[in-house]
Amino acid sequence: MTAANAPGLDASGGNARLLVLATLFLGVLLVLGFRLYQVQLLEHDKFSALATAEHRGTIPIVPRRGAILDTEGHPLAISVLYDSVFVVGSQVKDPQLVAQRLAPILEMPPEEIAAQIDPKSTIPVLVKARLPAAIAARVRALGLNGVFLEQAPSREYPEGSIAAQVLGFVGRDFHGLAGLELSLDDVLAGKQGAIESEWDTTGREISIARRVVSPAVEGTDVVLTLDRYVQRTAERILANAVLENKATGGVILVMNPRTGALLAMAHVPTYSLTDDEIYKPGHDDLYKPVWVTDQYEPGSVMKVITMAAGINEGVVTPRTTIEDKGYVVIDGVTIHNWDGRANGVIDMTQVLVHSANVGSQFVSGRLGKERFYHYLELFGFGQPTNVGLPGETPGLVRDYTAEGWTRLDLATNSYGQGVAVTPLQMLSAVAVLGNDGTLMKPMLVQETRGPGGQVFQPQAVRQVVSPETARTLRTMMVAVMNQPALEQDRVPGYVIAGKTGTADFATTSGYNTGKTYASVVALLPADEPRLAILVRLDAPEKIYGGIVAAPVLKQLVEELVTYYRIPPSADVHASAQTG
Amino acid sequence: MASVTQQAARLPARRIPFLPALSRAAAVWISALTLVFGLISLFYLLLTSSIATAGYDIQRLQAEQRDWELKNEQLQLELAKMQSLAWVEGRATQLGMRKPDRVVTVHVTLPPARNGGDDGR
Repeated sequence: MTAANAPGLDASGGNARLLVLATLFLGVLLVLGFRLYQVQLLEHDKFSALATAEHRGTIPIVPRRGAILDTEGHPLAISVLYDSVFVVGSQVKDPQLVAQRLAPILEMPPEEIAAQIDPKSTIPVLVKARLPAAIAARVRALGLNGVFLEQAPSREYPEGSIAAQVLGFVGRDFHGLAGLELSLDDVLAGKQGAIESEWDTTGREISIARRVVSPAVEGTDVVLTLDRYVQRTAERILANAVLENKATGGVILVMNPRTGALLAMAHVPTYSLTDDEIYKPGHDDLYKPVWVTDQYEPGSVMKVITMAAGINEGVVTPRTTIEDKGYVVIDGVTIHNWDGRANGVIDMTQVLVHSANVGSQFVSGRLGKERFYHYLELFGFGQPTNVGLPGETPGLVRDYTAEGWTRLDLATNSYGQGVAVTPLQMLSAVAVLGNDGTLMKPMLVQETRGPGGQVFQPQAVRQVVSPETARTLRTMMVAVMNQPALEQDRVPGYVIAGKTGTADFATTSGYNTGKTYASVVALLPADEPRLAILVRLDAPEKIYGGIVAAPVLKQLVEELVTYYRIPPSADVHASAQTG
Repeated sequence: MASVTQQAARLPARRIPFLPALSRAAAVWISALTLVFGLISLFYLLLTSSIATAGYDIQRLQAEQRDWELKNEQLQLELAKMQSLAWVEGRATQLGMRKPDRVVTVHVTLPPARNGGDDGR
């Protein structure tokens, strides 16, 4: 008996059903074939990557961020690994019990920990960061489900908040956001490496599958020229001075004039590096390295620069005299001395001693506009120092080629009005006189240690004035500091070359004569300077540099001569012995 | 017509060889090969097992190394903090020390150095 003869079966109907079935199978086969083609060929890379990602991955090797050290190698900023404790709420069986057990170890209220445990959450929540190793070990020993530790680096400042605006700080991604941490980020950060590995179906890593794809390059340590003692001393003295003088802020810079090495860079107000959250929105001005980002009119301190140019060009000598009537009329505008006093016939040394504007404009007039502005350029004004701090401004020198420049500008610029400089530019220029007339590039980094590390040598920028001129100016500046008005601010036994300055705050609508930058620059010892110092108080109650900045200089010098073992001047010593 | 079953029943009985008769040499070879494969399998098993164990040991030791490095870094930070000026000053103050009121510089004129130098005695 055949199927065709079977009862109930029609030959044509059976074939039709078979055809439908065959077509159906063929259709399904075609769809499956197309999908296979799609998956295996068209989207091969995508699915291959997905499959690989299921069991294979890359573990980053985070390099150690380089340390920032002071000139003696004392760490100012270092990176330290800490454990942080996280909790995954969905894996915690009894939140209250976990909180109770963690609380005494983490020294946190149990309620605070319990509040962070969301039983539905699969996302790790940070309970406490920066756990010391001993605490982390105690947490690990508890073996609590859903509680785990993860290591993360932290930036630490063993000396506290000194040199905050120089050092700067890092963000959550451990890259620099301010100061040297920002400008030297490439050097400090190092280079992240990678390990490729595989995981089994339970999510456990197959350690024999580990393969270093690219090794990490550790960050380079940076050795600064700053000295922690000098820095701390300068910051302490400045903070007290700002408070005592009811000033809004202030600056102290200490430099080795022979090398340009910066020994201290202090500024008030500053910020704390030891706070949990260093960056506070709305306080952006605090994070700037103001010694290079903010410019001001230096006032009478500039007279030593004008005088150095005049003496170097031979247009005046220390004995050149003028008749100082207390004022002078230029292009119909009357310029007065700062105190309005007529000093009579005075020589150039007396011009500096009395800080006579009349005398200073006399020198710039003799120099002429071309030579005067050429010297400002030689001394480094109007150009960045390239010290390596972020956001440096070149300052502002409007020379005779600028639109609107007049003869009056030549006069006012000679005593530090109408020119804007940064504190670092001003100190570098004065340091020229302490370095036999050579301008040095200010130096903040003396060495890098690590891969590609190098030792940086002092760099002479140019010879600005002759050594004779520099010596002459120092002698004239000694006379300034030895004047009776500054007698109380002398440091017994030490001969200091200096110049005070008082400059009104420049505003968009002229000068605010109620607020001044009261400053003093100094070179010591005057015969062979080892230190160049700038002290500036911003808007002090008593407005004059000689009154408020000179005492600060005295305090600082007393500390520094002891620290650096600078002996008293032989002449002073001899006179003290014979006297 | 005889059924298929009846036809099959009439066929003479025939011995179907289950295995060919083995020579003694072949039997030895097969046994030896089985033993070798067995040993290789065992060796492989032991090897993979020991590699896996070594892998876990490496992981454990690496974790231990990381812990020691972490402790070392934290101790270095402690050391740096205890050598900081603020800490030293604070401790000195606790011990009753204070800054000198004045510093006296003593100038000493040294005699000229003798030839030959110091012999260490």
